[in-house]
Amino acid sequence: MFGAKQKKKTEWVQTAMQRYEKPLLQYSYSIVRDLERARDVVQETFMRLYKQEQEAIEGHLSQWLFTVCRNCSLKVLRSQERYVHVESSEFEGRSSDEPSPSFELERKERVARLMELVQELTPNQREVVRLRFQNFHSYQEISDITGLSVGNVGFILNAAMRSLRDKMERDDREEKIIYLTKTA
Amino acid sequence: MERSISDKDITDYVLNELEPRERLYVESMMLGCDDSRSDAVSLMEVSRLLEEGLECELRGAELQLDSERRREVFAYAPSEIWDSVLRVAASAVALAACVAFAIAAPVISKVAFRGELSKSQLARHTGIDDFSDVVDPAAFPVAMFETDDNLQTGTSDDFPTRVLLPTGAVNLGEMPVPYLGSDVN
Repeated sequence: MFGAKQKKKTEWVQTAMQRYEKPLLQYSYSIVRDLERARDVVQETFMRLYKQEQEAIEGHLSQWLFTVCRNCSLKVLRSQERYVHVESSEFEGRSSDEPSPSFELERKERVARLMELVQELTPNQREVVRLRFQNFHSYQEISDITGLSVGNVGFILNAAMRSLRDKMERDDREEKIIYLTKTA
Repeated sequence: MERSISDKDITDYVLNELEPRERLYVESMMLGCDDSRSDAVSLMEVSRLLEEGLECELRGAELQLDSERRREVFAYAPSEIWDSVLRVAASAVALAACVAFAIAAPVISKVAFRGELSKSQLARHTGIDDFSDVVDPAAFPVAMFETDDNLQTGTSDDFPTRVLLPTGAVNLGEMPVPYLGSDVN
């Protein structure tokens, strides 16, 4: 009886681990800014999942995992009273060593610049942006995870995206002016 | 042309967070508004860049738990099973102990009650069929207590006011008295 139940639970947690291990590590890292600590947090998250009844979590597993991961990450952060330091180089893509066409390089530069701008957002905006664009959560799911209202999530995302867009456009304009000044 | 939809409507549209009806409305509004369309296009670009950038984040790192941590996650499980087994076993032992104690100490099985009894109940317990002498049936045995194999009757003065139960002394005067009926006619 216990053996069958245990086997089922183990398979369930293994499946969840396969699916959510990476997104949770990314999410936790975005909060604690230390990969080893992020691993500790994700391990703790899955250990807690193991203690839960499958039936109670089925249907909102993703929200549950991200909520627990978030709480554990914040706890780690609070316990160490660490401030988040971000190295922009951490966000640079290293996807391929092959020579890329110039537009590809330009695009990568834009992505890298945007990631720098993400770090200038408020903590709330940063978190909501990550949950949306890194983990593809809906407003409702983000609301469940963060405790913010659905309306507030939409408001924060709207403000964050427009702020990023405006800063990107401003940078583009400045770059253009510098280029024109140099060539004149 | 003046915008008839808000910035947030456009963001919600770009992020696919609108109901089909709302989506249709926003699309119809955007058809006649260049500003709204270019706004949506620029937000879509930001959205794509964000997805790409966040996907690249930590690309070089090994984004998984090491084998030791993984083992620890699954090592938790057996203790949970043993907890369950121990809980069931402890419950069974406690139940068996209660039953054994009740059999060994008959006083525990005494059930005290007071109240009026029906003719049939009195007949069954006392063996008396004729109650013609009884003027006030309600005054007839006012209380009874039962042991394992026989039923004794008497006045309330005959009964113990306290009995020892496994959980401690219980004052019978505070216990609810079962009502056994009043159909003595």
